[in-house]
Amino acid sequence: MLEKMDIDQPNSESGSSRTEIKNALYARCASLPAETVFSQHDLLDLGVIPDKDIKLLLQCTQELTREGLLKLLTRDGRACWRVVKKEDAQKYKSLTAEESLVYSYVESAGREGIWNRMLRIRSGLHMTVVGEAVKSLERRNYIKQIKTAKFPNRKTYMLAGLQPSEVVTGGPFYTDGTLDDEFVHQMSRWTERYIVGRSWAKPSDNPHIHSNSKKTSKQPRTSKHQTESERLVSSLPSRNANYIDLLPFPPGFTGYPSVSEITRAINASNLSPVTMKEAEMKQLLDILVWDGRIEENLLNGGYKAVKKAAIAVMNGQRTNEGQINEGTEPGDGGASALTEAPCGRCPVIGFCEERGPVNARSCEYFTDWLMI
Amino acid sequence: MSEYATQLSVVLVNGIFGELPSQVFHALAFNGRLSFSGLLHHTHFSPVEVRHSISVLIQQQLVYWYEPDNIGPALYEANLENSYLLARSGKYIQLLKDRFGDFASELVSNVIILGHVRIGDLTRTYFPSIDERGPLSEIVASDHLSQLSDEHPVKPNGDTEKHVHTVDELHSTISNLLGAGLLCLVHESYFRSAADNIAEAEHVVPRDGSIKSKKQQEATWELDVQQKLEDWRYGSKADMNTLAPNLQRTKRTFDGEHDELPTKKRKLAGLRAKGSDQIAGGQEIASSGWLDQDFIVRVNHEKLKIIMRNQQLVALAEESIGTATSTVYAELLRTAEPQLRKCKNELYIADDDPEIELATLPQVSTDKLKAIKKLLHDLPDLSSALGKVDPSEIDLGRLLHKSKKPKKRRKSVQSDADEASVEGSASSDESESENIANESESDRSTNDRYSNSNSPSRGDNDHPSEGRNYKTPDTTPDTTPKTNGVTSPSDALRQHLLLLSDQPQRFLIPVPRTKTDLEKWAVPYHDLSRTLLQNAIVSITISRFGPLAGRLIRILAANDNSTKLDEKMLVLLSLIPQKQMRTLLHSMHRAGHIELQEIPKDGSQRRPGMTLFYWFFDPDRCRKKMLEETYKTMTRLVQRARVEREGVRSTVEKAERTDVVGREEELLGEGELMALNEWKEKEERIWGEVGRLDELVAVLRDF
Repeated sequence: MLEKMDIDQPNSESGSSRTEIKNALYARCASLPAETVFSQHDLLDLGVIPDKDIKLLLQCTQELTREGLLKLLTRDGRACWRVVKKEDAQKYKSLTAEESLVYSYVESAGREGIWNRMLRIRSGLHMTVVGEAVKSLERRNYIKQIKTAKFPNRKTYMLAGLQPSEVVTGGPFYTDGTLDDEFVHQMSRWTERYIVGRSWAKPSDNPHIHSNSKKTSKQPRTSKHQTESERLVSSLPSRNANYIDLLPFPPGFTGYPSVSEITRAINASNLSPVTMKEAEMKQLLDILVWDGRIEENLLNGGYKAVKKAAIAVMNGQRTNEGQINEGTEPGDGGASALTEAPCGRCPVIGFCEERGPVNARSCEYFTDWLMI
Repeated sequence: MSEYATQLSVVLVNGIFGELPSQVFHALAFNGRLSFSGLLHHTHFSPVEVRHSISVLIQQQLVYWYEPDNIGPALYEANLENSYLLARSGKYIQLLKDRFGDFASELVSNVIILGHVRIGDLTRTYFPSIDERGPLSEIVASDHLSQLSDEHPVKPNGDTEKHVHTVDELHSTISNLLGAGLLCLVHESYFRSAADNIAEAEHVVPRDGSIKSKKQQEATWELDVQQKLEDWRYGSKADMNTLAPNLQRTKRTFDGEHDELPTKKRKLAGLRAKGSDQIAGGQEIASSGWLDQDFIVRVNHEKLKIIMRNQQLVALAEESIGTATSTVYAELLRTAEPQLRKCKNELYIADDDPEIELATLPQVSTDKLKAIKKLLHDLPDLSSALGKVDPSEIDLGRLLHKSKKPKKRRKSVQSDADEASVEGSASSDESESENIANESESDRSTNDRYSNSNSPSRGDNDHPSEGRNYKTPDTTPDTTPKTNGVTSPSDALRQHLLLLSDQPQRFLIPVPRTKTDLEKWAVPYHDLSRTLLQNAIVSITISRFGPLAGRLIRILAANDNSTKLDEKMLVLLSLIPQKQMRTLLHSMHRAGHIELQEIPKDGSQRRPGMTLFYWFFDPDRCRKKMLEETYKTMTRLVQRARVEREGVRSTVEKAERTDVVGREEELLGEGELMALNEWKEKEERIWGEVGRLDELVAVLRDF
């Protein structure tokens, strides 16, 4: 290329005027927004170089590049330049060649950070050399090591002055690269309560309904009308005195909160300084769905609380405990016929045979279970 | 059948029929098909003993037998399915009591005790004075029967003293039960295993020589064989006619249910409507005379499975929606009952075309439900069981998107201004104006407008309700009347049905009204059974490993169970710290709840560091594992019950003496009474648990 050949040519112009032009060129470029990439034409069009002298321009850029004030790049096979801040240029100056190479890669990685291994591969340097360079850069506080949520074991570096991006930190659910389960827990509890308040109608809000149902329930039912479904129904714990009955909203109800609605609400609640995005909120909602606490309304979108969970939350609120039953220990919530019996949770069930070391006759778990 | 299922069967047979038959049953269950001499060899009993046990077992249909071509020795085989069902007899009797009253449940408990019984013999047991009009059945020895019924608390003689039953009553009860499918006719084929039945049917059915094309001949023959098998299983038309020659097939409704054959559905699905209507049709056989004495009846456990599933579905609806809605659902499912012969719907076709799939499902029309007395009685309850909301917040457009002509009666209600539901504060000019417009227009146009008005705007915007909360409620006083969409009481029913189809579980699928057909509701049994299964597995997982495990298994079970996820992805989705999650995953894997796939990246070396680990959930494998464990648990419970009984054997035996029964207080010592009560409590606990486990087995295996 023409430009490349020219760069190697010795210059013959007088030094002083060229230095001025050079400085003017730098100042002009620096005044434009950072990260602007200049092609040869762009630089000439700036009007700093007299007569649009290509040779002069080349000499200037060459010198600026050498001083580290311009960075030479190639785009589409043609040379172009980017302005480097004076402070950064200063840094480069104090670095060794390897260090500056490593530094430039770390810098180019921006807020994403760069993995140690990638650094080695890209720079083509030996592992120890990279290691030393990284160490010295860290010592000088030019770069820092960060933890990525996705790959917690990878050594990743970025410039000391930058904040890691969300891809690196893993979003609001991560603190210092580790999952903040307390945060997740608190946020999901708030969300659940928000949804619970919007999923079911309370009969007490509706005096008409209340009196009506009371009246009919008082009517004596003949055994003729009592089908097996009713027997089944009446055997459920719903007849407890402190049971809150919740009424479903009519079919086709569109008032169940949607993702964006919940996101706005949680951000407006000042619960946390972190602003949640819809995608993150969706993540949180998914978890609540998988926990069986809320469910997605199929047809009209939006989320509604599962009745059982809603009652648990409301009971918790009413007794001012604020604590809802959601322990992490096995056995909390969820009962199955299998695990009620001692065998369903027996640690030695594998040995249990009719004449084996463990058997139904001598089983202590059974004895305990039958004693209750 | 698995090891523990077999063990359980043996234990059950032992508990009910004693040691000798259970030993013989054990030999058959563990050795497979045996001839009589083989059985002798395996049991070391005398031929008389074995013959006796075999006859008891055959009587109870616990053993299949088959004589190939009537030559050679008869072969015996344990019927593990029926022997398991011994554990379910209690449920059967309870169900009968609920539906048909005490007399029917007594009757059926006798039938259960006898295994199968000739109608004539049954009649004679109850009415010994009546002359037998037919020859004695060879299969049912009458002395055997009277001996058994003597042991049974329901004694025919004592019974007639309490309430006087007539022969007509007995026969009409039997025919009612036959009509409801809770009793069914016994055919020879019940005593043969499925494979033998096919062999026999192929042997019996002649090939039609008149058809030239060999291929065609083969096809017709195969259909005939199938038809034969069905006739055997469900009774042929001819059988039904001889059974009750002067039956009038009236439309007398039985609790509002009457026969309606899903002929259209079958046509649509391209299926042949076979002779399924006689018994499964659910029509009450209104009998003016007696049933044919020579027919033999037994209980139909297939029907019980259907009813058990319905009960579980109703319980699910109750849990997730509310009592009122579940009552409606219970009635609907009951109305749909006659349309099913088996739990696993043989007509069901999973098809890409929802129309065809829908057509294979049992359907019930709205009008039919409206005719049910019980629901009419409950209507006030039904209409008050829905929360009230602003009418603008209801959009049924998507729910009924298929309906071209929505003929819904849907006026906004002018009930007293309710203080309102949770959403209460949001009311706007818009909804108010809509309301006014609704009132002024005629019913019909209101309807159309109402169901469609929101639809176009919804199409563009997925969350039309977004803006709602940001309207300023303060500017307009809360005057808009809230509605729950119920205007007339009969509307309430429909609202509940719609609500059932608006659930994530999809309890129902609305089938819109067409020109020729009424509006109907299809029950997607197939999907619902799967939901029940998954719920059962998840709740076992949660109670074993905690709620976080439930979260993990739901993640793995989502997306049609085909997802395999590595740990990182799981952390990202579940937001559970990796260490905690790893422990959970490993213990779940060890217990067989989830599976692990290893994919080595380094070919054959399989270094752990170079291997990808993917977790996945295989519902079928998990189901089988849980089923095994349930069988094992049941076996141990039954065994333990025996152990407990042995402990207080002498007392129990004393208490069961005929001279002691009823006078326990006088004749038993204090210690004995205490021991007895304690034992009774334990017994109750154990058998209650067995009953609950049986429900789990039904979910895991039968539905």
